[in-house]
Amino acid sequence: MKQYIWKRVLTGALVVLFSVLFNFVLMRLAPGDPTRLLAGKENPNPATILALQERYGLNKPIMVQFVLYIKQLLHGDFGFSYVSNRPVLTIIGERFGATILLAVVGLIIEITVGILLGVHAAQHQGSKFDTILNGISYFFDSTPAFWLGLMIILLFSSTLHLLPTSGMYNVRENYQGFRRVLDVGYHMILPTLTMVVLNIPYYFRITRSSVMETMNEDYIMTLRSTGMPEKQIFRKYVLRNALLPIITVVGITMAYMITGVAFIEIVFAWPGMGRLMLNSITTRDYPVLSGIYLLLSISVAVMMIVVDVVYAYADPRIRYED
Amino acid sequence: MPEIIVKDLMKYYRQKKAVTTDKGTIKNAEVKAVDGVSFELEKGEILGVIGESGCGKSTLGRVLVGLEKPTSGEILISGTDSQALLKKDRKSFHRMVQIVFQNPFDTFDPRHTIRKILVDACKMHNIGTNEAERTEIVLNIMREAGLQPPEDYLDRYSFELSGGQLQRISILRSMLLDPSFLVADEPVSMLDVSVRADIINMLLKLVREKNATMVFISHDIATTRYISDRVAVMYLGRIVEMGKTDDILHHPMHPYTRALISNNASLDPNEKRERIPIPGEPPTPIGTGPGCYFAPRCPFAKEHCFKSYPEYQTGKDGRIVSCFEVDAQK
Repeated sequence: MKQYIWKRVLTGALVVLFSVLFNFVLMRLAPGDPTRLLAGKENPNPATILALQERYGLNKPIMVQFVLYIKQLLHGDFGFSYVSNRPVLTIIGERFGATILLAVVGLIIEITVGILLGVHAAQHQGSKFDTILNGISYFFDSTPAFWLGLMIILLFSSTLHLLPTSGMYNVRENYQGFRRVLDVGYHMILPTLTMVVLNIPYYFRITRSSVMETMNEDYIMTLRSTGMPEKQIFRKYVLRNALLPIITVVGITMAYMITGVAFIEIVFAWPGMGRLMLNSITTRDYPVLSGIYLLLSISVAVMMIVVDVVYAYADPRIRYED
Repeated sequence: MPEIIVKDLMKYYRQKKAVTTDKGTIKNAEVKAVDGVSFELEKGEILGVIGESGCGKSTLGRVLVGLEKPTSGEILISGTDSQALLKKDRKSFHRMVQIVFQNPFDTFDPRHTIRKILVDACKMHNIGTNEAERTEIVLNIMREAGLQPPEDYLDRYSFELSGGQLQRISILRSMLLDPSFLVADEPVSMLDVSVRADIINMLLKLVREKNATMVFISHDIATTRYISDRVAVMYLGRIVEMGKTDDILHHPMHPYTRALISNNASLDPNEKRERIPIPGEPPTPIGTGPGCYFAPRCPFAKEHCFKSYPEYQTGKDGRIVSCFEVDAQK
């Protein structure tokens, strides 16, 4: 088991390293020049451009730039934003919390509801509940996030005037303490609702099919033939075995949760990383983008390791493969 | 009084839309997997059930051990109706009636060790008073079954063992509860030929020792012949012929039995046999009748075969056969 974990950690480290390299190169290959944007004029003075290039090391060969970048990273220095000239870590830090809050709350709700509905539907396969839920799940699974977000805003904010259209808190009142928590919660309802409605179908269908498949396994028949009560078979054997594919899916979505909420953040003007990333792309803010990508690749790698370890713990077949 | 009495057992499945043999579609079709099966077994008797795949053998097995509810008909075990017993006391029913499945690789939960699987079965049926005692019981029967040394197997997972080893354990699991009636559903068809004889002998030994009654389902005539006292031949959910093993296999009467046996390889290369071909695929058991189910494929079918289903004729050796074209008395 120890060896198994080490192997996964090593793979994870390689994944991070390669994605850093890949992102670094890819960003510099993309058309557009940050120095032109920074110079701020349509026809900037060539001397200004050169000075800016010199200052940010952009006149050096790309390999040298990369080595310098890695060196900086190892010192915990993520550089400064070309646009705001503030440290990248500070910028990301401000946005990170908002994204994590939205993503984690949404994930908890969608996973819980999705799995519960899926298990229930599988138990009552072919029932009205099952058929209707299946139809709804296909509908929402093929709905784009921005469209649903706008529709929800249209309904709850513009028409019913129940909830705010955007933002994370009331900027005019600037509440403190518990009032502030309530205020954020109030602003979170619509983005969370959009996210949850869009993602529940995913967990619902995976759970439903996994439970149904497990119920038909031969070993469940064996348990039945020993006279074990159905309830016990379902709880102790069907559910636990059906959980395996669900773990994988949950792991994958958790790994991508930061980017997963990007569209929602944009629609609801939520001050999170997704929006930061999009803005940085349009302004060619390389250091900020590199920082976000690094964070993303680390989170993907870490989640991959976590899923692998949880999986190995849950399924002896995986544990014994290595 | 016979130990097992099966009376006119039927198991139908509903299918929303079905395609019949002649490519027509029927809505809300009834699939007659088991369509009126009756037989009696004395204590300790072994009945072999043979037939093509899809003839309802496995469904019959599952209905017999209470894994599926019969659509109609009765199963009496030592004089008690199995459905009533199942309702009253599930556990004691399953203790009396056990099954060995075809595929040993899928018989056990992949997340559990052999120890957990066997010890848990003991625990559920209150065999042994504590963990240590139960482990001892399990070790003993494993030793007897030729799994040496048994300690080596206890903490393994099912995916670490071979098919033969798993099927031994599967048989042990069934016999652990001391059942008086056992159904073996093609227990060796998925195993290597080299271990088949061993497994069959082990099963036979255990069944004989406990004087259990067994229904042995198979499509392999040689194995069935070796193990069974009597043989029943099934076609589309019905028994077409049943009698003492040697009588049936040496002097088959029903055209279907004759065809089935003539197509079975013989060990004697000099034996002269005529192979009777059966044209076509076995049809689906949907919308069958009113005539003999085998008539469309039968080389001897006459006009009246398509009009009504032949009643059973009883021969002098206790054989029953359902065919218009044979005389059971001869």
